[in-house]
Amino acid sequence: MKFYCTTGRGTECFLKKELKTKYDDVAVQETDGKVFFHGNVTGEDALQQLLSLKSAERIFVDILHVPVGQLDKRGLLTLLHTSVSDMKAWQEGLDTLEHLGLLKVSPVFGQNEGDSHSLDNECPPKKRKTGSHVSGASFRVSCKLSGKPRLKLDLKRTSSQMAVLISRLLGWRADPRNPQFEVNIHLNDSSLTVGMPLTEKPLSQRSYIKHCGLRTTVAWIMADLLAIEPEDRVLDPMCGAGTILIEAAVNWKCGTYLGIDKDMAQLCLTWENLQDTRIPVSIHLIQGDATRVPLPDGCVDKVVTDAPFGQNHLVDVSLDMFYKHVFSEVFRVLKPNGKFVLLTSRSLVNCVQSLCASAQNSHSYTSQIVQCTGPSEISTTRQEPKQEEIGCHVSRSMSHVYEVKGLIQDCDSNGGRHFILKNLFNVKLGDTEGTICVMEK
Amino acid sequence: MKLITHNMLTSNIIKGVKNGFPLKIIASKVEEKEVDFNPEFTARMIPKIDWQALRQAAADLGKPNSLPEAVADQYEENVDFLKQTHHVLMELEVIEGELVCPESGRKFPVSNGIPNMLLKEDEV
Repeated sequence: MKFYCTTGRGTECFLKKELKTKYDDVAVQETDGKVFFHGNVTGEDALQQLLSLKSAERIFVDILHVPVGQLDKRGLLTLLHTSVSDMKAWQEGLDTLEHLGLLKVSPVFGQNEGDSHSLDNECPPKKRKTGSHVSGASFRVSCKLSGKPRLKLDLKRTSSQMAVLISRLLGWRADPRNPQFEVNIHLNDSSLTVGMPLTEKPLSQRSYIKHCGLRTTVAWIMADLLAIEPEDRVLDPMCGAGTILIEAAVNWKCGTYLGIDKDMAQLCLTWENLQDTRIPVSIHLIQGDATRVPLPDGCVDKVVTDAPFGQNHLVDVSLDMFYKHVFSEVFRVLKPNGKFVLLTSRSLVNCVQSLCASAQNSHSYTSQIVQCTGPSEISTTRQEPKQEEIGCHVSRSMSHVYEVKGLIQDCDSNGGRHFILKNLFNVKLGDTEGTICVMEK
Repeated sequence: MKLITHNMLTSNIIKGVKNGFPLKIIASKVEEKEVDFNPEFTARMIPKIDWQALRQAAADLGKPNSLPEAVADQYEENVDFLKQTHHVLMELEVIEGELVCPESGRKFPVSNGIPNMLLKEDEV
């Protein structure tokens, strides 16, 4: 069984880790913005397991993915037609959907109506097969072109050509408005990917979060980086709508969570979210200032926060000064060796580095910047890619990202009163470039 | 505000205040909400709790005898004791009232169950 997930750029490695933790023997391959995996995903709750992936935006059955070379318009069209005509690939993909119980076609349309009664005896009503695949189903093609293919092909025409092709191939009926299935086709400079989503809504849209302050996948990743243990007290000193705390509390029920925010309106959103979760969680709220945390020294085990980027949320003093005060308060309330996971703007990473010390016997490590994205994708994000269907808000939010590894040079001027910066992960958040900083007291 | 939160709150952020703990509670509205009892969780919380502060807080809420004077020996296996502690820590909630700094007398309002620990410029 083959699948792929879309992820926020820069978070592919976290999804890979999540998959490896969840499934013993799946083969995982990460590309830019997508993570492919295949293996035996069986058991009664196979579907539930897949849908509970936390760092994925959406999950698809992987019908096919093929590399794309340097092709002209004609070459691209030929590639699309021959690849999408691969009946064996469709068969395998539909088998996977069926295995997961997703190949349900409730009403039967048009010409099938007549023989539907006779079929009832042999198959359960939800599954009607002609040959070996469901016929009469309605579907829609969601086509996305980026990089050079976007300039060479006409999106609308390509979409409808693909819809006609698939319709003939599977005996399905194109219905852009109210389809039972969606077929996603994504063509960029490096690959052609065809898949069918397992759900209509993105996985990142959590049933337990109503007001979302931060991308839930990133919130989950930050909570995961905290490595929360049973007796841990976790503090978010600028909790906003509480997205990180709720994501953490729902998935790591063993901890106790404390949310502080200056703004009562934000705390009310958290409070509303808590009323709405229906999952009993232990989150306690205090109205307070992240630069003057009303807690004793060394009383919390972990601190996590989405700090101001200096864009939407204004602070009273200069940002550098604000960060300095927050860092000294977080340092004070954290117990020794406590962890601090912070999301900040890419442009404030220098500020964070200046507030951290390197490891004790500091060899000055050079930061290695690994670019994971080809130049083609950069161009697609600059010029908003045209898109037909859902998924646009997912892909818009993901673009260029690279990961910075290694420790940063010693800039300790304050005799051990500083955090040790363990890791930096660059992630793309909509139009903003963020960095997750992992620190230790 | 549950008493588990109160047990951590201090007013030591005020200029000149050293410990600022425990804050005295003057409650005008207290609610009791049932919370699932998890003996392991409660047992794990006990070492992190300031017991005398918790007893004082319960007394401030008009329940002076809801907890024994000291943490029971081998409390991990003492279900009655854990239940009592769970009730005071997790089920009593101050909805409206004030928290008073033991050193400066500064009052912090609690409204809709959320304590407001913000300070004015001249207090820091």
